[in-house]
Amino acid sequence: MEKILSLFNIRINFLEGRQFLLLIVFCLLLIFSLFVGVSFGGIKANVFNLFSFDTATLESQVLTEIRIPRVLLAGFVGASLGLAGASLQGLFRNPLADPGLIGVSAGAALGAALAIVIGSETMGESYFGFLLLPLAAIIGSSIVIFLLFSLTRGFGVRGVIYMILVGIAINAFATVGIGVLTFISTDSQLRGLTFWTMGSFGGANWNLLAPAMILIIVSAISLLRLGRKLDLLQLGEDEANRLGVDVKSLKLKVVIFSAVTVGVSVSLSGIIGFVGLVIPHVVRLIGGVKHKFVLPGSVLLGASIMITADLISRTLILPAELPVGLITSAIGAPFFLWLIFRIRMQ
Amino acid sequence: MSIDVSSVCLDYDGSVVLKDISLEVKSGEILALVGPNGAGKSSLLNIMSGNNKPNAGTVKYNGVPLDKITISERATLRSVMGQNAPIVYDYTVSDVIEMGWIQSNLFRSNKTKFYDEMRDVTTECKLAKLLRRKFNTLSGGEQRRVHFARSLLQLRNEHNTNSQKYLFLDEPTANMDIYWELQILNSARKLANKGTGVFLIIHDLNLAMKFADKIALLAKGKIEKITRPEDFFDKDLFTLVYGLQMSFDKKLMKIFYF
Repeated sequence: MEKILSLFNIRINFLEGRQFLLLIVFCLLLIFSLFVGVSFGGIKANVFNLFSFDTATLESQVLTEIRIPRVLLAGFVGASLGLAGASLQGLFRNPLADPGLIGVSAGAALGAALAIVIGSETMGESYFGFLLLPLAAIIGSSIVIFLLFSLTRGFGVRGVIYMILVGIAINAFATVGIGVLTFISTDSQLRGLTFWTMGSFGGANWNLLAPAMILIIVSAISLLRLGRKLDLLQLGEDEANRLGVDVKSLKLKVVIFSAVTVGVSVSLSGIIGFVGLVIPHVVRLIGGVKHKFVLPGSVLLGASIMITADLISRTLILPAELPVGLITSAIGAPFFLWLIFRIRMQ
Repeated sequence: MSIDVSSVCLDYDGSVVLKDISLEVKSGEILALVGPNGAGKSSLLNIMSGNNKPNAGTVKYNGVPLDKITISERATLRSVMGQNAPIVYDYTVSDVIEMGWIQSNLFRSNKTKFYDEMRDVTTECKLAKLLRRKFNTLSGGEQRRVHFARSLLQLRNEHNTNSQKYLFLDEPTANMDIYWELQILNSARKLANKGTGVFLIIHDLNLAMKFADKIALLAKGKIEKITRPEDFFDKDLFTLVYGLQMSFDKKLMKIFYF
């Protein structure tokens, strides 16, 4: 007994230290995948040539204009989806909450599709029109999260199946919406529309990426600060309140910032499934369930995995390209089944 | 110093849950609240802890109305061991106890003090051997002990060291074996002796008589009686409230109902 107590200090320190180390490992993994993602593709490129001032070569043009924005976009979208998944799983106290599964991504896609078909006619290609797309996607994802929120009020434990069912309904509704829009859209709009439902990073360019990066970074930082409060929320809303958490404001923050990250991601890359579901679970399995670890872990691992998935999607069947959503779903779907099985066993 | 509840009323969906409740939890005292299921005990606790607002009446902590105290400030003044819901994710026992350390940032607060207090409460609740276990793998009684340790840790926060603090316990002995029933209530007694005010909801009338300084009987949302333990028993009233024939042995200070 005394022995265990004397070890106590070290053991707690050790655990915190271990999670800290794991985050460093995730960081290294991200740097590695960034490097590999930028280096490989249709044209092999040496990243270090970028620093040789010779910007006229085909290689450096491919890198700066196409590949680097694309890899960055993949990284930011992966980080967003991972973080939004982890935050929503914490908020709903539901391990199956995933922006794609519960219809948040579909809401964003519907918003974006509406903006393409209706917005492009009224706004044209103005500067405002190009901001309209992410904005519409954010509004779409916010509406879905608020809807889920009111439909699953006070849930957490009973809600596991219910929330998925609501998600199916919302997904179906969004599919109908996008279908109708497809029907009434013009040819050029249609090309834009199909992109949302497939998911791709092919459209990456700096003009789109820069504002998205700012929005994602701001909301990600805001979400990362909520880790401790999300932990306390796991005890139940009343208990969290008794421990000093303003639950209403916490919920509002998580909902808004998740909606922004998911909305922006979907507006840039379309719907990419399962990342938000799988990444937080992998992070929990590796290093524990505290949100102080799970949230940053999901950001780092989400980015690395998405960059890798994108690399696979554009190099596997060169010169053609697979939709990246195909890769993530191929990995994610079996994992989802395993998760359901595990929940049933419990 | 005390928590003052005065003329609190609560309606829920048109039916009256609490009628004109007034009571006082004094620092250094244990006030036990007993009463049949559905009498409104937990509703009263939720109002006193600030989770619910009453339709009428006020709650004051050390003279300050509850709605003038921020949510985070309340957490430094009182801790609550509620009737807990299950936790979805696999937190360890030490994670759950640590949640009671309400410092805004664990890493910025005094670490040595945290470890000292943490070691203290885990020893008091004999949880040292379970610290690395997953909370969800514990038995019901063990889980209650973990929550009790968490509530104790919350009272030891570094804020408001000068003000009186309060501990609310909602059926703390549920699922506990008889050893731990006594342990938990002894811990509460010790805290009260050091000046903490304890509000205890409990079903066992004899435990209430043994450990409390005052007992209140709540039935159908109304306080029927609030006295010192030795004056508590009232044969006609108890038979009416509980629907059981009861007797009282004054020497043993025990109520018999079977």
